[in-house]
Amino acid sequence: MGRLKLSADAVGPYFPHYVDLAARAGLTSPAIIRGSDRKDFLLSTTGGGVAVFDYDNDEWPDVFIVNGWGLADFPRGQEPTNHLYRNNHDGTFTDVTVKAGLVKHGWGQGVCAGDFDNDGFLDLFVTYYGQNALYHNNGDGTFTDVARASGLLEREDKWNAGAAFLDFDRDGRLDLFVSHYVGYKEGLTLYESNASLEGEQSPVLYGVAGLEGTRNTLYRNNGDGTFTDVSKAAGILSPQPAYGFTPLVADFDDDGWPDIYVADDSTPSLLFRNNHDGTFTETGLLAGVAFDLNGRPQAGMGVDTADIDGDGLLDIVKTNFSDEAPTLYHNEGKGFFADATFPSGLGRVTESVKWGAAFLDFDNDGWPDLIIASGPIYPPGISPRHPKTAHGGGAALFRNTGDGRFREITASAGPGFSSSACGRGLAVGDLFHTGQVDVVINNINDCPTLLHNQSPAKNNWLLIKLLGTRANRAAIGSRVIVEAEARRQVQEVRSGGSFCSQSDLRLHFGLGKASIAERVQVQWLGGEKQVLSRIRANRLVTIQEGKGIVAEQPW
Amino acid sequence: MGERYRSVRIRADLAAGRLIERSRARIRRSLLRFVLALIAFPGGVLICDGAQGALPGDRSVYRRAFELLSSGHAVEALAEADAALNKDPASSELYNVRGMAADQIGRTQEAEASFHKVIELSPRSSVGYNNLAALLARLGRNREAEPLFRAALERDPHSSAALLGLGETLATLRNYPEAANYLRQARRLSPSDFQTAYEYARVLRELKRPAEAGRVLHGISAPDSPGLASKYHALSATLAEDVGDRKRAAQLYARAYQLAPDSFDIYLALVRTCLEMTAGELRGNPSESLKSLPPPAHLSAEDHFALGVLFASRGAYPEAIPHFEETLRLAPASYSAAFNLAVSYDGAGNRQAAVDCATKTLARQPTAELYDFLATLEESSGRYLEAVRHFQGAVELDPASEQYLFDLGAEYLAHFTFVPATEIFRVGTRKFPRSARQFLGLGYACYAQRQYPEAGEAFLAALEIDPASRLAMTAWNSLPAFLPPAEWERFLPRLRRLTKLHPQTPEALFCYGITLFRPESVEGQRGGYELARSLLERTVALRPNLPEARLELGNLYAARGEKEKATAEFREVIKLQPGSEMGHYRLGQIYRDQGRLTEAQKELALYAELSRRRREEMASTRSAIKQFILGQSPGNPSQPKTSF
Repeated sequence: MGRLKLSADAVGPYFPHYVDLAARAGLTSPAIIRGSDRKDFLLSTTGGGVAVFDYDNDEWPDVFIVNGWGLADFPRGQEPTNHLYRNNHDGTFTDVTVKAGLVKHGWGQGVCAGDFDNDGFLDLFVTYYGQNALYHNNGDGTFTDVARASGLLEREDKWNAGAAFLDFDRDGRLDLFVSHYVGYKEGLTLYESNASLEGEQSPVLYGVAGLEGTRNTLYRNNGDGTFTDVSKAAGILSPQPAYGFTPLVADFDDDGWPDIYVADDSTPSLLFRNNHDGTFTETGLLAGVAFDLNGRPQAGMGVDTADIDGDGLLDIVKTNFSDEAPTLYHNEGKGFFADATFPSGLGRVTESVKWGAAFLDFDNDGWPDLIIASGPIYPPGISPRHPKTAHGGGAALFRNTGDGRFREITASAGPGFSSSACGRGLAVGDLFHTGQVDVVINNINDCPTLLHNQSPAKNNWLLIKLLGTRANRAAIGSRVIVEAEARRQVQEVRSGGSFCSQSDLRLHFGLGKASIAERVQVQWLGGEKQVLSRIRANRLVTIQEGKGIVAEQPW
Repeated sequence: MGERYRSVRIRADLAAGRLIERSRARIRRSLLRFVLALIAFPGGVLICDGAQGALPGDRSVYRRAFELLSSGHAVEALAEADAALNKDPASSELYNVRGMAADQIGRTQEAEASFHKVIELSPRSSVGYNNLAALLARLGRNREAEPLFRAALERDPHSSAALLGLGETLATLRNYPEAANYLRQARRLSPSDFQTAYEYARVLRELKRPAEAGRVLHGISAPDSPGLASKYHALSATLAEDVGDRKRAAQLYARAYQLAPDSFDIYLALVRTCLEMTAGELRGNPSESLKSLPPPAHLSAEDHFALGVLFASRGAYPEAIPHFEETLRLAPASYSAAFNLAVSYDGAGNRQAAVDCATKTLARQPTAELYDFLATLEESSGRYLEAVRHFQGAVELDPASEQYLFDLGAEYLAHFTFVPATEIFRVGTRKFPRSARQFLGLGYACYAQRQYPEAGEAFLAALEIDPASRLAMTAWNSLPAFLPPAEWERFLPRLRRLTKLHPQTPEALFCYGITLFRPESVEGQRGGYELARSLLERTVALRPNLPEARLELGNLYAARGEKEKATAEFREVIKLQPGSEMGHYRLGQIYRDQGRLTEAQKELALYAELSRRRREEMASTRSAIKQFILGQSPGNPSQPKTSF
């Protein structure tokens, strides 16, 4: 594909040039949500997760789009389904959904990836309004839904939202955390006022406050292909019912154990601190991540984590509703956070309803930048009452200026950011082996967006893939610290995050001008520390627990 | 928006004020009768000596005429006097008797002429002056009576009748100090005379000397005559009221009423006193106390109305209802009675009867206030569409009323119908540009639709109209979290000007302070912090019990790392408002930042509990919210009117 060549002597700060390659690349099936002509339902507002993950282990990330459903029947053969797009390695993708056995109809919500059986192939967990699906990767390009066999079907239907694999007990097997939104029945019983219902008094849908709340679920991996609901025993049920969207798993207090942060809508967001004994304590209030600066609950949607200021601690960003800025919580250490939204410059971002979010180093300068997807609450096109418009959606890009602040550069980031599609889930990864991070956004009633930066970065990078042996195979929860140019960067392998989505499990580090990473330290979850020195830049490096680098692939 | 529905006032334009005047007039007339009676029955006052004029003629004729008059045969007495005057036309005594007889049978002009003759014939006698003055006073011609009484006193300085008459006349003319002087003299001459003591006591009361008045009145015994005794007890009761002894007053009014069961005025005073007594003073409720003392028979519509107003204005709606019903029976066209009856039905908990009554009256006599009141009834009954239609009706009938327009807009707001609410309040702000609450309503409607800059404009306008408005301040305080920083800058010059104009108004200082503080947090150090700090500190100095200011000052201190000061402020917030969620939250946070984790957890637990309760309350409130569905067709009566 063509790339825009910039002069090596270009002055001034670097600006990316993102273009939307989705159509050209073959990501052409829209995610569908259909509403009703007369009424609007809360169920029409959520969903839209996306996964960037390498299902066939060819080191080229593939894309999985979660699809929705509608309130009226679809013509036979036109029922929406999730889509798996295999990366063809040449800038294009092939829809292999049918071949992979991933055709499923329903109100899909989110997705996460992880190798729950440690067979070396990433599995998928897809959440639904109703019952979830656990797709075991058979290793031959196909998947099998083993939700029932694994014990993940619930007795009652639920409004499942985001999910994440994690090894909360560090036994080397991936467990599963699922957040739930409002009570199942709330999805279809409330309706908004309608001018055609003249003369009537009708209940009002005005935010979720007052609806039945829910609690999250933690499933422990039994090691035999089954899971057990340990929510109660683990203390996950202790907080008051809330409206959960996306869980974010990371070791926030630096004690070597994964914690779980859940972005909640209109209720306090939750931080489950791992007690190291199979239980969690909810500390969101004390930690300072439950509310905004003013102590108000926000409409928390998507989340991501990164060390934005190089202090070695993982900070959190959370997207919220329109007229609420995305919240940036700066990690102060010991599990405490301070609201840094306004000092970071993100306090100005109050347009649009914001959903998926991801930190990505688009310019490889070593400072995590930020991308946020937005879209109206009722996706345009769900009904004649919500026609497609030219406004309200799209994405926004923020450059990390290296001093704890972000500056929005959307308008200068290329034509890919001029889209106004109704965005939801967002995932990142180097899809085209360019050394630069690409972005996939799941748009409702529109084709996905695939943002590729055609402006070559001036800086170097390093892509690290971890293979656990004692730790879970996908090394989820393991931490990597890269030192280069006298700076330390910290990242963890994470499942889930963004808005009910999954980014590439491989860790992308921008190295700036450094041609080597002086030191790469891997803290395997529940295992040893492993240090590697002087790793050359601009390549994918696969590091196996206990062995070191087992593969290198420059590009 | 706390005064969502103003309390409906009982219509009292026929009532208490006029009644007091009427009762005063009645008492005056009664007293004058007695004065006249005293003069008419002087108990032997005769014009005797030469200094006052001789008594020529046949005294037996005079005596006969006088005896006839005394025995109630005024017509015969008049005839006797006329016959005697034919023979002796220069007899001032006979003219005196004639005058009294004519007055008794209502021939006041003749009486007046007769007394003039007495004066003419016996110019140096006080009698004629006395009697003419008394007659004129009784006829309400007090200004004419006054000089005549004075003339009588010039001729007989020790005339107790003249002293009493002048004193009473001056009292009628509200010249109480001089009235008291003459009455005191009269009392010295007739210390045991009831009338004198009564009148003197009444004037002393007017001079706000109730204790002295009490001593005067209680220096004599209650008369035997039931009528006079009733008045004695009634005045005693009034004096007891004046010194705050409501229980005694009620007892005395009751006694007075028992002696004069036809006296509506006394009954009214008795009812009023019972209603004002506290639970401790009264055994049982007022109705129980009054059961043994029913109202006088044959009350007029006006009387029933006055009683109804008295009961209703003190919340005794069940007792008020029969009186308003009776008023309407006697005066079916009385709008005020119908209105008050509807209010009383509602007050007594019978809302449907209130609605029916109001609806019936509305059909007959539509008024804006009745529409408005009926709307509040429908709102309370859950018939929201009806309520909004009636609010609209009120506005249409009285487009100049700011209250009705506000009520309509508030109704829309209450039911989350924000677009019509915005339209109504936009009209309201144009029509009533000095009404802060119209701007507040507009602000809230915009706020609810996330139109924060417009909401800011409206809230600021409300603040500019009423810089000390707590509501406007609270509204403004809700904005910074949602307003883009650029918008705050836009408001700064106006806020600056506001604080220059009102440097001692804490609400204005507070709003300016927080508006400076927030963008400073966003934009970084631009010098706004110090000014914000100064403003907030001044706010707290002027109004130490303003928790919002304490909270923001605490936030500012916390932002500058002044943790001790921040802690102190947050503690103050909680002291002022123990239920302040934010106070506990912030205090928890600052404790946490200081490493005081146990204290932090305690505060945050309190916050979580308060928050949970509020959410539960919201959930139950939310289920009750009903939104209006308004049609779009122009002819639809539920179409919001935007021009009035």
